[in-house]
Amino acid sequence: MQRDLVERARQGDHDAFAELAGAAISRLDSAAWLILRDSEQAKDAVQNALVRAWRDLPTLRDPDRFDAWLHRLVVRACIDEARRLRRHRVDVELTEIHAPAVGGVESSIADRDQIERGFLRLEPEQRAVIVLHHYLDLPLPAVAATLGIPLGTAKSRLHYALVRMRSALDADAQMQPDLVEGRPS
Amino acid sequence: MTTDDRFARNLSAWLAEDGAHRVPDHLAEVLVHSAATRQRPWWSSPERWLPMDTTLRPRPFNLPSAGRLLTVALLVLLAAAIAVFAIGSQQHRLPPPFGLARNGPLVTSHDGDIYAVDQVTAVERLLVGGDGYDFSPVFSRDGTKLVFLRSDGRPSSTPGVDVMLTMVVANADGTGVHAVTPLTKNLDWFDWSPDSTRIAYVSAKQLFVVPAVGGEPTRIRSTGPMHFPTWLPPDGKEIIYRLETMSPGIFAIPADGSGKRRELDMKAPLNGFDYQGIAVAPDGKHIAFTRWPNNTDPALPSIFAVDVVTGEEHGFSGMSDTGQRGTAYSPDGTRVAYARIYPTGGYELVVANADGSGNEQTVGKRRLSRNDGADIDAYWAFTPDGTALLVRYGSDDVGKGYILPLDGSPTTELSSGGFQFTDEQRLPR
Repeated sequence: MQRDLVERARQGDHDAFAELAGAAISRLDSAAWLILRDSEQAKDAVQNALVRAWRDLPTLRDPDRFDAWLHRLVVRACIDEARRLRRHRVDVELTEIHAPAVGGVESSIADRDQIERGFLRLEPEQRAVIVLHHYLDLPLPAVAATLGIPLGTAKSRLHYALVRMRSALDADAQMQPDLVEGRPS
Repeated sequence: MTTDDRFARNLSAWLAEDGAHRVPDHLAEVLVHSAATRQRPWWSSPERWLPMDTTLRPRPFNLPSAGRLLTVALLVLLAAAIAVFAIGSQQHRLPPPFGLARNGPLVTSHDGDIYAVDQVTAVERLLVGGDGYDFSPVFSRDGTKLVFLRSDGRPSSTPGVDVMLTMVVANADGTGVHAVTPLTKNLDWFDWSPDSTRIAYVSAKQLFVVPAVGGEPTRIRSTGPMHFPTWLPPDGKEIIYRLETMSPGIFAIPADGSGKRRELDMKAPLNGFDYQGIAVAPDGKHIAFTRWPNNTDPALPSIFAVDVVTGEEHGFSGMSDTGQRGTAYSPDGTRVAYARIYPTGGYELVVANADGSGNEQTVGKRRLSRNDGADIDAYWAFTPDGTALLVRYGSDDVGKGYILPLDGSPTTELSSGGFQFTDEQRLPR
């Protein structure tokens, strides 16, 4: 079904492309938001990627690789967008966490709060590999193919992204007693 | 479960939670842009020619030095090609149909020919010449094409004299000139569709839509006698127009002719001159118009804007004892430009807040009216970036163009001549 739509869109059928774009845009928008953490930038990135997808579809050699190709275009657009409008972000409210909780819902909420803070400290390229692997559930070979990098590079990029996140979380954990609330400078 | 497993699980859960509940509302916008974008030919990508596993397979051994040199040379060439392609890609980006855009080159007409104008030096370069008398060039909303009008000779500017015109479309660089309508009586007031694929125009108070690539114009029936056709942003599914009867109103009709007209919810007209000169805000939520009062001396008009959804009206507070006429919205919809008319004669251009809250700023010099009262001899529009007004002072017989910056920077003088009109290309920001 999708292959047929891709074939038709490759031959200039804009209705077929509209169907493909409609099916993908929600997933792409979420991925772009996770990478960029800015709704407007995410929207711009997805729009640029989809318009580029339409423009370049005739050059896609294998219709079965449409999804991977589209992910690649979106990730590239996100990274371009992040580079174009790189800015210092200080919009993370730190919530009060009195003591390290162990187990249960509180622990999970605390973990997720910490995860968000760690994730925000990553470069967009590192966020992209995490989003592809942990959000879109792509296996690492597919992540590598999507990003156009060797498998080994994808593995190391993911590894270092996670290490960096955990280091940031460890550093935060040590600072928590002094940071009750407020904004990081 | 290891700490790493727990961390990965929490990471996936957080990503799923944080990425959920996002309902993108911009698919239509994407499709408008993509529909206006030409696809690349299939042969333009090397991936179509070289199997992917060949192009990406690592070399298992060191190349000899001559081979290395050749490889380096090929890589340099490849990098150069990619750079050229990247620049080309950026140039291929299109501006949105509405909203702020970057200023591009100007186009102007005078004395029967179309010229490109350098936006800094104002130096002209002939774009479309020839035997026909060409005038009134207007860029498509995506900036890639131009439409203009063509007559066999200099058209009469005398009211009441029938004029036969052809609508002509060309690429923004002046190539690909082609007529899109037959010779048409009193062809008037045209407007590009948001996706830049169609043009709406008036002939003898009837509405027509024609594809920019050419083809049979479609008459949109059931409008009644009409004028000022304007595609309603953002999607352009409807065309807004003024019903030209003694009981005028503002109506909307499906642009594809598939449905009936509907009257917008607004006040009954004061008189047969109400709802003149309509201008639609870039977000499609307000329509500004000129209203003439009853039984006042002098009869100075005022401008108003109506909310398309609620029908609520607001005026524009301005200098007391003056009139207002003719509205142009800024690209971001926050400001309007109109003429402030003095009861003793004369007018000047003013920019003010679009919500009617005032903040008037005079732009350019006060000028004498063409006749007594409110008859003004000027056309104006905002530049794509909203920082200046493009103005033509004078009549169709002899007019002169200007760029009037809103920040008080020096005015740029453009050409002068018969049927002088100017427009500026929208470029992506």
